[in-house]
Amino acid sequence: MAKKVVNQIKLQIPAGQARPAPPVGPALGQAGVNIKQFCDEFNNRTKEQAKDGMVIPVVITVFNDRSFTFITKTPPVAGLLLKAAGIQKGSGEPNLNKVGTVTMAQVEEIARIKLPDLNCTNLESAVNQVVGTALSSGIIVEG
Amino acid sequence: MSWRELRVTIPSGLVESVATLLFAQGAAGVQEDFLPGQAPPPRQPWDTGSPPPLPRQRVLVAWFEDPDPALVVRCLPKQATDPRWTEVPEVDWETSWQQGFEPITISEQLTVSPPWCAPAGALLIEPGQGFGTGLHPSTQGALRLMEPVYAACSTCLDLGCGSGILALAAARRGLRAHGVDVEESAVVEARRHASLNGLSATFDTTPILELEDRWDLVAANLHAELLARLAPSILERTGAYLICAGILADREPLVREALDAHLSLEQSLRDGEWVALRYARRTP
Repeated sequence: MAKKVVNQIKLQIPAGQARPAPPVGPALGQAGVNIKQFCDEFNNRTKEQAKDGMVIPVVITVFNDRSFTFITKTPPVAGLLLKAAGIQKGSGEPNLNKVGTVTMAQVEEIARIKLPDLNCTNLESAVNQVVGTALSSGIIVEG
Repeated sequence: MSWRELRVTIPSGLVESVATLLFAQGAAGVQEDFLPGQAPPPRQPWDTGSPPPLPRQRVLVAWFEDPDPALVVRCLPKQATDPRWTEVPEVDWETSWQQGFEPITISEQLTVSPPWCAPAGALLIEPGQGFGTGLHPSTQGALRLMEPVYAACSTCLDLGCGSGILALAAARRGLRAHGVDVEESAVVEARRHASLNGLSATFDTTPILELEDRWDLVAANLHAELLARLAPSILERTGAYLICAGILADREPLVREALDAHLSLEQSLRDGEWVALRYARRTP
């Protein structure tokens, strides 16, 4: 079909937990798209990640007849690091307060997961980005 | 239940880490947005070349149920500026998005409508993941150009079927109709609409290049560049009539150049910036 894109909405939603309430309601309600259908489909696509309590970035493309499509992305690096470190949140003062530790093997695993969505083409660059996020979150990388 | 919305401006490189902080503070979800006037134009399916550079700042919007606003703001990094809280009004989100949809009269024989406001006999299309709700001029143009030739056709192929609306309109008039779309979600939607309307049109994801047979009526609501590129395959499938819609007026020459030498242009419709064309096979 001759789809003309009128809007792109970027959300982060806990896997399996989209419902007709904030954030989905206000974000998609303004665009006038079928909220219930989005919630059902998002929850179905992310039910596996829901078991790990992951937050899922999703990009919803709205077309000029108020139909839509969406793609889900890999969970944010910061969320994957917190999970790997076994902590709830990063440090507000990452230079002064270190709040957790991850191993280089964990960093590489996260880099592999994130590679499709990061702005780089090789694992080494992805690892560097993950290390950077770890440092800015007050998480020490061992090894 | 009281919802509050926090908007905060941050450097683009901090989107993931600040979003993670907001979730740790109890956010139910986060939206990444742009400062007013900074959002780049949406990239269209026919756009080529590199997209423009993105602004260096983003607005993060986070929603909380009964938050402690001061505590949440204290947790933000110093690069986060201009935090603003607002109350979220109570809205029935399950139905509020339906506003603005109403039955659309295409012809004496065809009205397209969402199920919740449908008059008797309407073709039911529930707006969702398949393009072709009936709202758009390209869909309406295609439907109007199909109307006069149903009587002369017994089969219909809908290329890029989206919601299935064109194939289903043909099926209602007694044609054996089939639709294809590269998007699986669209095919699911089209099949659901066939069932909703009690019609036997079929849909699948077969690529246009792999289709066989000729169809009396071929409807292709695609954009001009795609129509021009696929013209040889579309012509192979076209038995008697070809409807091309979804053409931006300034790109009409692309389509005309690809098709005029092979078919006779019978009628064109223009609605705003959109053009739809009906071609017929030349009689020997």
